[in-house]
Amino acid sequence: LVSVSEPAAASADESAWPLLPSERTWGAARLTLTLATTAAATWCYLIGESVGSYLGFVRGSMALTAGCFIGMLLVLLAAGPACVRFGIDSVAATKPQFGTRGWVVPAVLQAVSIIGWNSLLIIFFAKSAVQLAVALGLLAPAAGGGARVPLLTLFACAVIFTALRRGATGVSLVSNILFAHVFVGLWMLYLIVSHRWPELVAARPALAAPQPLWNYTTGVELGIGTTLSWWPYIGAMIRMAPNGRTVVLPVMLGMCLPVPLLSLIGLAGVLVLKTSDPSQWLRTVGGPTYAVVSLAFVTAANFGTTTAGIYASAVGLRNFQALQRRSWTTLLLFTIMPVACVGIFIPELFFAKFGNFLALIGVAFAPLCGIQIMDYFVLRRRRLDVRAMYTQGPAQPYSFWGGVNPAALAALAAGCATYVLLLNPISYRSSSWYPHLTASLPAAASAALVYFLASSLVMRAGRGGYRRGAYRRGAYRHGADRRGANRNPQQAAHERQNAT
Amino acid sequence: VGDEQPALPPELEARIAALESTASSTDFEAWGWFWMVLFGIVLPGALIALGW
Repeated sequence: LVSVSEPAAASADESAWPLLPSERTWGAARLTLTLATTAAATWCYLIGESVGSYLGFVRGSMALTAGCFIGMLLVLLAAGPACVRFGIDSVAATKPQFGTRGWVVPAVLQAVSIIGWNSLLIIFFAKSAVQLAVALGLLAPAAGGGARVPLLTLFACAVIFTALRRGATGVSLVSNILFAHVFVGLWMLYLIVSHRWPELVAARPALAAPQPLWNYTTGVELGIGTTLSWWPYIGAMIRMAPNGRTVVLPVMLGMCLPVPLLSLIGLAGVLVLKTSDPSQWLRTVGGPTYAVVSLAFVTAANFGTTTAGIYASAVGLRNFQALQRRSWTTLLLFTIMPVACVGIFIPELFFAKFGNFLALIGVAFAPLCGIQIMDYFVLRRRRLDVRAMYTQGPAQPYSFWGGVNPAALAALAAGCATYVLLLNPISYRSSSWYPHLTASLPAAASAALVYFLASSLVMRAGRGGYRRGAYRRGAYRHGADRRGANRNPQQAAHERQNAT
Repeated sequence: VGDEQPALPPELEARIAALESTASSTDFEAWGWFWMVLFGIVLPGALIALGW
């Protein structure tokens, strides 16, 4: 009999190793609550502001909501299967595609994206908290000068660190406390819609392009891009749920739906009051009391998201061999220190310069999803070898060449190039095809196509643990490799035994 | 040549063995696919058509 020791099991959610069914205890309600708290943050009204630059309220709402659900579906289909089957995180789920060393590429994307976004959110948190304290009379408006934001950043990092010492339970705990802010956000939306509806439907977007299709497609694209950026977060959360049945609705309704709903706050604000910041327009609508509520909302929202992000990032970093033996406390410090340093030492510089870099990083998630979907559903026919994800060595199924799958790297590059050719993510200059196609969907499709074609060469070379002819109809019927076409008998036997 | 498989840490080995010994796990079940099609394809399709 195989047993897992008690202390190890107690801290299983602090590792990147597969979770056992007995350790995956989050039900649908707990997962929904945690995902919703993770999703709702300052970026929601920034996204709304972007959409409101090109589209009016009704069309903007529809385009953004549609895009968010499309992006969420892609993320769930890409990272979801491996995460829910084996209790692993998003980064570990890329090993069958990128290889037992090549997974470092998505790991770096994840770390940079999460740490970058967390740094921005923690600065937003600190600024809102200072404004809140001033509004409540706890701080004088002028006293303290510029030291307040760094001090509050440090305080927030200390609280997050303390909460996350309990692993995923800490994320859930913070979500339980902060979940009410989602309803505060919906109340804010109700306020502006009910008070300003005639102006809202009559408002014209400030930067609308002459071509209506371009504007509409950009609304959809912003939604897709937003939820694609959940890829780094999703695995660490859904692996806590026992099976796929528990995961789908919480992801679609808990992680996805709050984003377009709360983005409408920013969309409405920028259309009617020319500012997406609810703490400014709520003062106009309801006076200083409403402004205090709004500031509390923003503060709580960013705190919850940052907590989940730092947890997901720490679990992702755990895949690095050098960090596997480190204590959870050390790993947390390693993850939280860059965020704290940015918030304390260079908040303004980071604000000014890092947004563009994050936009560029975000381009990679659509191709990444395309590669994972193609690999899992078409090439591997939903068969994965969990042992191979953690086993190094030249004859191992996911070793490819030196642990790296060049097909995945080529596909990722092709997908990113496709995106940038269709739409420059910084300047928003676009090609003539973009209004008809969006940028994220062709990027995912081109990456999937290149991966499919390049993988045929990988299969011919007998690498990657594929079964030759895997993508042909009927090749996997009865689950047996009747062609015996694997690279060596050891690998074939290993696959037959372990493909689950 | 070089086919030796380095030993996994005992804790990881135990976890993988436990997962391998259980019945074949599935990703999403019929209802999961239903919700994914509804929210990921039908709803966005309808919203795009209505909004446009």
